[in-house]
Amino acid sequence: MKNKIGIINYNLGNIGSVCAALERLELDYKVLSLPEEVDETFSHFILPGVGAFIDGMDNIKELKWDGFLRNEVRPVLGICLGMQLMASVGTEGDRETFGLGLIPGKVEKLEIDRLPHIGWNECEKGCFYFVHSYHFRPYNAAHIWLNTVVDGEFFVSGVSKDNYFGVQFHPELSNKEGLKFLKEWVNNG
Amino acid sequence: MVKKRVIPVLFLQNGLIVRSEGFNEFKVIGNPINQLERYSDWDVDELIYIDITRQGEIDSHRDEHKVPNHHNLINVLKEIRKVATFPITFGGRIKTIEDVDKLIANGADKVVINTACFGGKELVERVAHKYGSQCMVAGIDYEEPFYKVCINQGKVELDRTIWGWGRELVERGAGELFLNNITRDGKANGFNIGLSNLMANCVNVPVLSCGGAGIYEDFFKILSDTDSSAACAGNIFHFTELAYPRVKKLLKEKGINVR
Repeated sequence: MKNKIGIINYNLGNIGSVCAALERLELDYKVLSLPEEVDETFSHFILPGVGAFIDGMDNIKELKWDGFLRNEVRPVLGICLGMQLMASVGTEGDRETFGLGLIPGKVEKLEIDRLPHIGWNECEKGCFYFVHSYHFRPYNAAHIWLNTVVDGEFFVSGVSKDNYFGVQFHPELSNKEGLKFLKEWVNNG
Repeated sequence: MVKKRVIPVLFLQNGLIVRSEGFNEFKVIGNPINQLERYSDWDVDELIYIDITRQGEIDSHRDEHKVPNHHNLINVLKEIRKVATFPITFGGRIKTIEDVDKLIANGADKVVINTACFGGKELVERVAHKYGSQCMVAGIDYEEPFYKVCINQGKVELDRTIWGWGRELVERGAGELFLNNITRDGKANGFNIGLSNLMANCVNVPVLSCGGAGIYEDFFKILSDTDSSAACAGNIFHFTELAYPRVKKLLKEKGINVR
């Protein structure tokens, strides 16, 4: 089957950079605003997003993407906030709110000297661009995919469970290494 | 560990990239889209665009520069986003949250706001709330020797200490501080190490230092002697052949944690 990527647009942050990256890779993609636009021609989905956890969940529920994502069996890649929304619980805004619950875990504030954690950092897959203040803590170590060090402490920069994948960094903003990562994910994910 | 960044800063005036000196002398260098390919090839950490247009229309002079004419900045940004697979920060002349909405919707990853941080409009708070602090870069222009904070493209002096202003901006939601030294702008006499160091110790967000880079060694000094998260520069990257990869090479050889 030919690869075709659906970019899930839930009106938070810009998706222009995700489109630019897929264009560079010469991959077929479509920006999807509603689950009704999904058909069997799609092979993968990307859940991007920059912004606040609560706003993200609100938008996703309003557009009915939550049900779609929970039942989907094709590979889904969450990027940054998109990854965090895959967790069971978020703690942004000083209260606990439910996430999508695709990968069991909790999203908590990073405890480091300088927040946000902005810039290039490494994980097992290469050097990528990060911008975030919260991180995903999986309840089950088996769901840890990638790790990154900041201020001498590890945090989880990639999670995976079944067809769900999430990365804290932005492959679409990580130039050559980021493009390589996306290409690999599309080919193997 | 998070790596130190080296960030080219491109000043746009009437849609064209200009070289700036002392915030008052400008020379046209070229078209923003043409220049972009070079930065893309160099695998830059990030790019910052600042629109410093003072009067007149946005016009990228089709005939001279052989790319479509862009009559407004949003179109310039859209073109940039099509090519750029690295982070783009856009700023200059931002006055309202609607200005920010437009920039983000058309491809900016972050915005840098300077003058409009002042004046009680709560723009910093609103941007941080709507898009997150990481999107809200506060610009601080300052003059030596007394570290006077200036707004309105360096024309109006603010009655605030630079430390107090920096801290206030962070408390209000700025996720990064972009320090630009007016006195050293275009002078190539080195970064102001002391100020960057003090500011980086004053706030707990990344500090980006700009103004004064003249030789490759300057980048080493600012990144080794201060807690600056990034060294930013304009002119050196325009006028010195392969300056960007050479700066990175020198930093790596000297043991600075860069890409």
